[in-house]
Amino acid sequence: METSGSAAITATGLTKRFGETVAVDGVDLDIPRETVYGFLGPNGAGKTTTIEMLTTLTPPTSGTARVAGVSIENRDQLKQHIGYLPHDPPVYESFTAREQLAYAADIRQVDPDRADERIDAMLERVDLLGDANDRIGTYSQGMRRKVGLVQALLHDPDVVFLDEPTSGLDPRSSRTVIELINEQVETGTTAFLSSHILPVVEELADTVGVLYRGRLVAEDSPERLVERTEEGTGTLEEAFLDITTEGGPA
Amino acid sequence: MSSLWNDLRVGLRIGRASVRDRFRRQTDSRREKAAFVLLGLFILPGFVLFVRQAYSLGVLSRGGIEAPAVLAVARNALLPMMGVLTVVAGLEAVQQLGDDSVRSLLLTSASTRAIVVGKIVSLLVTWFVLLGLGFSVLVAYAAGARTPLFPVAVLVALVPVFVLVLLAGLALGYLLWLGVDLLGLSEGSRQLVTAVLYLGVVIAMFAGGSLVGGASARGGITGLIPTGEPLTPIGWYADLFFVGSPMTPTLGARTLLAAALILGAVPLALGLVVRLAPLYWYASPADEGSEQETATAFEKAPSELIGRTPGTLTGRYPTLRVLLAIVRNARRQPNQYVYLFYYLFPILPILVQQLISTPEAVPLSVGASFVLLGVWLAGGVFCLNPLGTEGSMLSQLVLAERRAESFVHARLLAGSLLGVTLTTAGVVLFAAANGSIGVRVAVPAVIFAAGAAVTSAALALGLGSVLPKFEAVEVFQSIETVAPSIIAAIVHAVLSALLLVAGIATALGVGSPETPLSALQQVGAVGGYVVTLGFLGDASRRYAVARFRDHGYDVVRTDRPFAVYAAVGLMVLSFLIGQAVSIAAVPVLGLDQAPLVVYPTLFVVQYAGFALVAVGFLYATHRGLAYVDLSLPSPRQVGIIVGGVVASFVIWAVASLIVANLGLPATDHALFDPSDDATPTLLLVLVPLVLFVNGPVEELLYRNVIQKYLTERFSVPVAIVIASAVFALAHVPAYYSAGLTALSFTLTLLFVISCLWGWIYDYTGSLLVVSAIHGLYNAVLIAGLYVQLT
Repeated sequence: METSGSAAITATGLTKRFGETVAVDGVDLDIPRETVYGFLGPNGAGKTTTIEMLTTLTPPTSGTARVAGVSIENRDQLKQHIGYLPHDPPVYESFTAREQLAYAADIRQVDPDRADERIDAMLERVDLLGDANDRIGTYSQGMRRKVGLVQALLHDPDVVFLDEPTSGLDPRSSRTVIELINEQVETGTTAFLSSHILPVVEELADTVGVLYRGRLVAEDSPERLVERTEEGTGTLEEAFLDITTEGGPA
Repeated sequence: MSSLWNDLRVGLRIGRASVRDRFRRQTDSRREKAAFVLLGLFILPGFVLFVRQAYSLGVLSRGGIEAPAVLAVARNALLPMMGVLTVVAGLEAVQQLGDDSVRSLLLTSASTRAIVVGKIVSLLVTWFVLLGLGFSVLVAYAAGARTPLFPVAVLVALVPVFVLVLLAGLALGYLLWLGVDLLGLSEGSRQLVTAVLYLGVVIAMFAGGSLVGGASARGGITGLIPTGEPLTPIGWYADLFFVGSPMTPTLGARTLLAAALILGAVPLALGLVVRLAPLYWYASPADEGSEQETATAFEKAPSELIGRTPGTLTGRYPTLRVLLAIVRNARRQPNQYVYLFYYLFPILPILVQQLISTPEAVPLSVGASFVLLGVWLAGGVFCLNPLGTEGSMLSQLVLAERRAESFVHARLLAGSLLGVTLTTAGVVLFAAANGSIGVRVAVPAVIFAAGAAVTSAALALGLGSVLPKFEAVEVFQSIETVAPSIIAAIVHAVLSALLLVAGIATALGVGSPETPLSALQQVGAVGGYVVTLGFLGDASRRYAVARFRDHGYDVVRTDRPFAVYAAVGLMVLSFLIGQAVSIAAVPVLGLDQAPLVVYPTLFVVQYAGFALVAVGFLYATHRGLAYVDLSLPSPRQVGIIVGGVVASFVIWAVASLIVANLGLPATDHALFDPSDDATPTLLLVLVPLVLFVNGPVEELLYRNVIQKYLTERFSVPVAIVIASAVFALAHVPAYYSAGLTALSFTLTLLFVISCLWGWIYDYTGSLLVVSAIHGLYNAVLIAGLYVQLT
């Protein structure tokens, strides 16, 4: 579906309060299409709340945002453009991976023949084809995460939100997932990637935003962020630690 | 239009997936499946009887009946029933999306309308499944009346009513929640207020019903039956349920109007729910601000806080410290017990109704309610899910050095203290309100109710360990808790209520001045009650300890006393299931059959019940069918069969000689009545049955399952003795009428012969060998009786 505007995600003053607590405080975003946006921040910084606002799962207290050109207030229309892998993959434990993915494709209204083909191809891609007919309840955390990732990408969304896509995965699976995300971005998807595994973010992200106590305190390419460390030659991890240290850059 | 069509289609898929997931999760473990089958078998007799009665009623109403009363009741009851169901649906519906594990997938994939349709479809299927039993009764009636259209009409007419009720229920639930949300209460108070509100609505429905009934001038039960025209035009919709039935309603403009109203309300209600639902689904998560306050005190005096201060009671007994932790957890997070409100549902409406109609009886009912609640809550609060409620702490506790007994006993103690307090207060209140209850009844009632409460706590521990529940669900709305499994809760509520009733009956039997029991019978009643409580309580407690200690294993290492309990339990269960299926078979056979058909059939059915228990035990405990020793007898073993039969008859002959010399009364199996003309022929029919049914099935149960299971815990001789004692006890009902002396002599004979068979089974390791000996022995005895009678 054609959507207006050139940015995949825009946000202005996005804010979420829970009673007295300000979870997300006036976040502005402008993320171009077909890029990977790495979203970093310490625990409790407000990353998940930001993603939930962008995926319409929770309404902002103030501020506006558009995802794939659609306002987050227009939920039913926005759903057609996004995919979401939350921290706990949303799956029925009693279903097999194939049943779960067919179900997800179905409610996304993917054409059944195309869906079956794509499910097989993607299961093979993440090395789950052999276990596709086992119940998800018997899967390891990593396998479950891979099912969740395939589920989020199954319908070729314009924007996919990924919360820790490689957590709990072995190095080979991590590599596969990174490649899969890259391939998906090449075919036109924009990825909004929240992760604590900084080498993955460093490798994938075109731009990195750092959220600290609800505020976006830094936003740049990984290379430029690294250049901002004291020596200018550190890692993204050092840059992250610098930025999120008490009294660090605001 | 195409988008509506799409939403309906996607909604159907969502509903189907949710139903499939729920069904699969309900029957996940073997123990759960076995529990469901067991429950089904106990319901079976009543169900078959209902179906049979409905069929007969149908036959009577062939050719049409004049039933203005039925139609009037249906028309008047339709709207109030819809009201009650709306509340039920509201309760059920709001909690469901919460525990939906694919919540975020649905909310980011499907349209609101599709999700609502999905919920309605899933609830609709659940309701129709629940109605399934009732519906088969209706089908039986229609089959009897030869009106096949009737059940179809009911089904078709029910769908719009249910859809409307479910939508109205969702709307009610969401509105209630949003209203409470507007008050801006803290999370805890909000949850409490919501739960109380739900309860209030249910009570109001019942109270309203009783007011309408009370307005009738005629009084009595019949006075409650409405006869006039319905108060609202909706009532005429009820006529549609009777299309094609013998009641033959005349459908007119009023029915059409009612149908139009109901059908027209469906899209309106759907629109309302589609508007309301997102406000609920996408609402802000709860404020989790004020959790820090109590934690800091911990650092000041940790020993004191966890009860380890030397010299105190809790310092001395680890179990009491665990109790302290359980009670503290309960006090700090009372939300987790919100499901306990369900226990009030059957009690409060009755109390409220009574408050309106007969206020003077309220103290009595409050007393009785306290007793019942005491017995229920003794198990319901701390014990019904001992593994699941530990949550993420479970692995730590299982690996802790402290013995599993500590954790189980702490829960038992907590539940017992709560239960005994309530039951005692209840009995005292009841006795104080009812002057005719003297101290001689009140004191035993206090003691027996307390016993029932303690046993209820232990029973809950056992049931909760058989059917633990680890996943959190949302009760009422957004209150996430690890509520006990529904089936465990139901079985516990029924069993503990039965124990209470038996306890009160025993108290009346020993304390009431008008007691019909002799002194010996009183001792027997008290003894029987105490033994039952001890048996159930101790067995449950031991099982809970084993499940806790061996958490994570399918098969747990239970101790020796439990093995004895299990052996007796299997015997009792096989008796009960045998009775249940035989009773269910009677109406199926028809009551007018000849004894020659009835007795042999019931015999086979009863033994099928025994076999089911044996096989069910092997299945549920993962022992599997490989446990059954089915090897064919070798030629040498054929010799053992002959020797075994001869040896059995030698024992029998010695016993007969003793009987004759001591002048003891002879006993016959209750099945054989020598005065009955049909008995000789019946005996002939029984010969092959005992050979091929009775022998093999009893040997499967008592030797291959019970004795072999006992050898896992005991030495072979001890296992043989226990299994034989259980085998002898199992024959008490068959020889009960013979009198105490004859009974004990027969049981001794059976015990000795059973020991012989047990030894032969162990020696040969062959079920077929002992089955042949047992079958031949019984067959020859019966054939002998036949010859004697003819």
